[in-house]
Amino acid sequence: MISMIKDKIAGFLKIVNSNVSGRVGFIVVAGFILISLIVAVGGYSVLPYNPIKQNVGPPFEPPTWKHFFGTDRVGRDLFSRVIYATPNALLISIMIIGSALLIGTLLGSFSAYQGAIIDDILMRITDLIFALPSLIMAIAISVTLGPGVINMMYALMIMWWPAYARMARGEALRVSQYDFIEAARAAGLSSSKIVLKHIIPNIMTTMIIYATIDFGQVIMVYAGLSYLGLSVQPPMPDWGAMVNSYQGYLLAAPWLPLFPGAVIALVVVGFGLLGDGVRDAIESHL
Amino acid sequence: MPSNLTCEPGDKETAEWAGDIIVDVKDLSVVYRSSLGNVRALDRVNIGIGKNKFVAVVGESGCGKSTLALSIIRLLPTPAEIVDGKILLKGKSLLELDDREMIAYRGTEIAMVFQEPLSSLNPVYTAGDQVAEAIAVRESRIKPSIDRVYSYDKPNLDHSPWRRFTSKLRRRGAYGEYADEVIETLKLVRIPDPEQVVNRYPFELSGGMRQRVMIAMALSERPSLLIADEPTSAIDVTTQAQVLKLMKNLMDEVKTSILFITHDLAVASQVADELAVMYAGDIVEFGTVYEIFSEPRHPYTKGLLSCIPSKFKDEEKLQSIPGTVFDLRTTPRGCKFAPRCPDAKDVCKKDKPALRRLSPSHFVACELP
Amino acid sequence: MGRLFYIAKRLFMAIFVFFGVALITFVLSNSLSDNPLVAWLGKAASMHPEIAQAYTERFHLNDPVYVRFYYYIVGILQGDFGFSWSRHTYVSEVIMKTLPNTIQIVFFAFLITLALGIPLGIISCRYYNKVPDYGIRAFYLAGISSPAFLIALLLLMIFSFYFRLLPTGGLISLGIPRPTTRTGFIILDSLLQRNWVAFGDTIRHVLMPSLALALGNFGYVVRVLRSSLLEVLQKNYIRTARAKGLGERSVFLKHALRNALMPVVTLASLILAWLMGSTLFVENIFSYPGIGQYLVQAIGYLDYAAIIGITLVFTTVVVVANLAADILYTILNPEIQL
Repeated sequence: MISMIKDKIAGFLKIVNSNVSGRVGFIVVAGFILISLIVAVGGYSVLPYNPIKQNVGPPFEPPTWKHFFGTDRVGRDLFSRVIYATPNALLISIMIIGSALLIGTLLGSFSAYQGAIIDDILMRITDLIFALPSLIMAIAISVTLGPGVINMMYALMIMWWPAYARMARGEALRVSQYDFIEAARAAGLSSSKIVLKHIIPNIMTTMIIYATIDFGQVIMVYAGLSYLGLSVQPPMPDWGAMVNSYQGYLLAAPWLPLFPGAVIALVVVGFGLLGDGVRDAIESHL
Repeated sequence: MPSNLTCEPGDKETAEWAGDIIVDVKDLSVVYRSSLGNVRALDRVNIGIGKNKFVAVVGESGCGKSTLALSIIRLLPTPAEIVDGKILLKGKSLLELDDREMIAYRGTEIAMVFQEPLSSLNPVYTAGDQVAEAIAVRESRIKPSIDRVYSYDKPNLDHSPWRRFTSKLRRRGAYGEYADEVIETLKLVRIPDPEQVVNRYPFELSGGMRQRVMIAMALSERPSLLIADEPTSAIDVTTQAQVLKLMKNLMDEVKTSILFITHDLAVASQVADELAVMYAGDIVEFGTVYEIFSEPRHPYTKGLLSCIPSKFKDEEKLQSIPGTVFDLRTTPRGCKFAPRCPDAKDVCKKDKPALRRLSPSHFVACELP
Repeated sequence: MGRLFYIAKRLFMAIFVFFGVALITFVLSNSLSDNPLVAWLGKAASMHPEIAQAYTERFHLNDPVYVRFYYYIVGILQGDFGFSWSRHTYVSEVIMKTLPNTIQIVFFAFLITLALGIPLGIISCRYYNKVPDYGIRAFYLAGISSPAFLIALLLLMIFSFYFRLLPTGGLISLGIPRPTTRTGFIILDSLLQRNWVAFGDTIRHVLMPSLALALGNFGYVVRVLRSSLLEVLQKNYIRTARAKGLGERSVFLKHALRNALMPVVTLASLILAWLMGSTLFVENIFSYPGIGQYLVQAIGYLDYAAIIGITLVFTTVVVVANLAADILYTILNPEIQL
């Protein structure tokens, strides 16, 4: 079991490193995850300055060696704040994609296997949710439920799972054509066992690849929602919220809104490159 | 039979071609480059196609027959490269032409029909549009300009009001300007009800009809040479017979030569005048159909002929040629067929046999008497 | 005839979605609070008692849920989304004033997206895996990965502050005479009334927001077109077209591009959804009086009626655009017969 996971990881690393895009993307993403873990475990002590303490430096200090990203109006170190907000982003996106993956895969593959009415219903529901602009609906739901991270996560989870369900359904349909499914049925396995033990393991690769690429999207939407003030509440630092609160200083202290925004872009680019690299590697193998 | 080959009897050097030949291929070598090695698809191939002759090239998959066809019209895919040789069309060397000049030859002098008519026809244009496009190319001679091909302004023969309404959006109606010629060409290929067919999209037509449309497109420009790359392999047998008969008739009507690629010896025998047998990138035997069938000289040809199941022979097992084609990335010494040849001698393994002339029209590349 | 059925099916679907959204928004507004008055009017309930009264009557807020739902739907179909207390006027009025502005920038953004995306997609394909391809990829990747507000801020900084080229925001500068409102679209109105000063000024204001929107989205077009072109160029009918003697230009434009653009049409409705999503942030940063800015402010004020109403409008626009794209696709692709 462990060795199988090790093999899979080794295989994954090989694919990822096979082209430039994958390599760069992987470095960025790995950095992102690493930093998140370090901060999550270490807390304030791993940061150069206390992120919520004021006046650790002169106010409105442009980026220097002492303060990489400069300081804000009350003298907080921007770099520490940005880094401190990193695990948030990672955690939230993992939660959202994880749940979307779980719900979507289960629903999609069961629906594909059972077919008929259940499938129809699922298709209608996903069609409905697909037709809605996800950001707007997420906003509406978030606002209704009230500002706060948990509510935002609920909202995003609701909007996110249909894509995975659709994907899982498509893949499950494709896999169902294979003979070994027929064999399993002939052997008397129950539907749920067939789906869980035979269909899902075979579609997992595609689903996980899709999920990896999707991380970037989640982070984008999450940044947008936090910009609107619907996610993490102050004084907890959060990239999108930071951009919003600092945007008035664009002329006087441009580093304040631009650095958090740039970090968002960087992480999303990292995932995008990783996704591109993985996709290129797989396609060239075909 | 006009002579396609002149050489001294017993000459071991490569034979010379001359005569009433439309397309003359000399010492053509084509290599496919890949990261796993270079594959020699054609190894110094020589063949001549005479005026108004139906020449069939027969061989198994991978022997290079399609490559030969694509080389003449110079539509080889990217990994392929012509590394040596000459191709003469009516005396003019084709390989020395640049892209612009070659484009001028395509369609007008050399036309090609492909194996799968469904994927070879553009799905978003009607049959009429595509044939009209071919005619438009001929009309504008050397450089077909976009304006010419796009000049649609004649009334619509659409049958559905929706189609008429949306035709503006889809830029249809090329056949409007060339409507008559298109209908004439479709009649030429014996398509029933051409007025209806011009409005049909490729997916709405049957396989046989699509192939006729392809042939119509190819012949509308009255080429000197029509290359057909396994045109009947994707259609059912009855339609196949019709298409073959059509091609034979057209050859006489339009006065074109046909180069017919196929893996099916029986099909070739029905329609061809002359037959070339290919193996692993070489032409191993060439002659009239009668000569090949009555006096096959190359062991491979003999093997192929014996493989054809016949109800007139009393056999219990289907015959086959033992062994397989070697890895084409290597070029073995001597005759390429030697490993599988039941009569192989030592000399066969040492030198590659050149084409030897047995009669004015019959050539074989084999050392055996 | 088959095509009409297909369109009818899509239309049906669109209506279904619309009602679905209405239902969802109704459920949402209901869950805000037990007192529907509070849900709809928030603070205004106490501030404007006469409006609260009119509201209660019109929407039957004292009756059970299903009655309320019925009148809710009736209200929507008549364009009545309730009272927006943050603006002290009816939601529908504000939307009527702001939606055209948003449509202006979204329209231009769409054009710019195509004008950037299609040529770059073609170049990317021509120079497949060579330097231009990589350069373009870096460019568009930065574009689609940057959050809309970042792009907007950057553009603002560069063009307004450093180069002083374009105005910092708003729809039209203060001293400019406005055209009388005929269509609601200032650009169109000033054009029709030959008010060139206003026209030019509005264009200058509209330019940056549109550009900000487009830069964040053109990458999708490039990506899709590039892979679609690469795939189409391998197809057999391209070989046939060449064999016919067509020049490369004809082959490319008439055969390859024509087929390769079809996935882009499908993409168009997705792009519109993205543009509408991004417009929130762009309008906010440029203080552009569009429906996006209205929404952002409504969120700040917790003006639920406005939020719900805007959500409905947004969704309707997206659904209609999807439908239009579907229909366009059936026209372009003759294989859709059903």
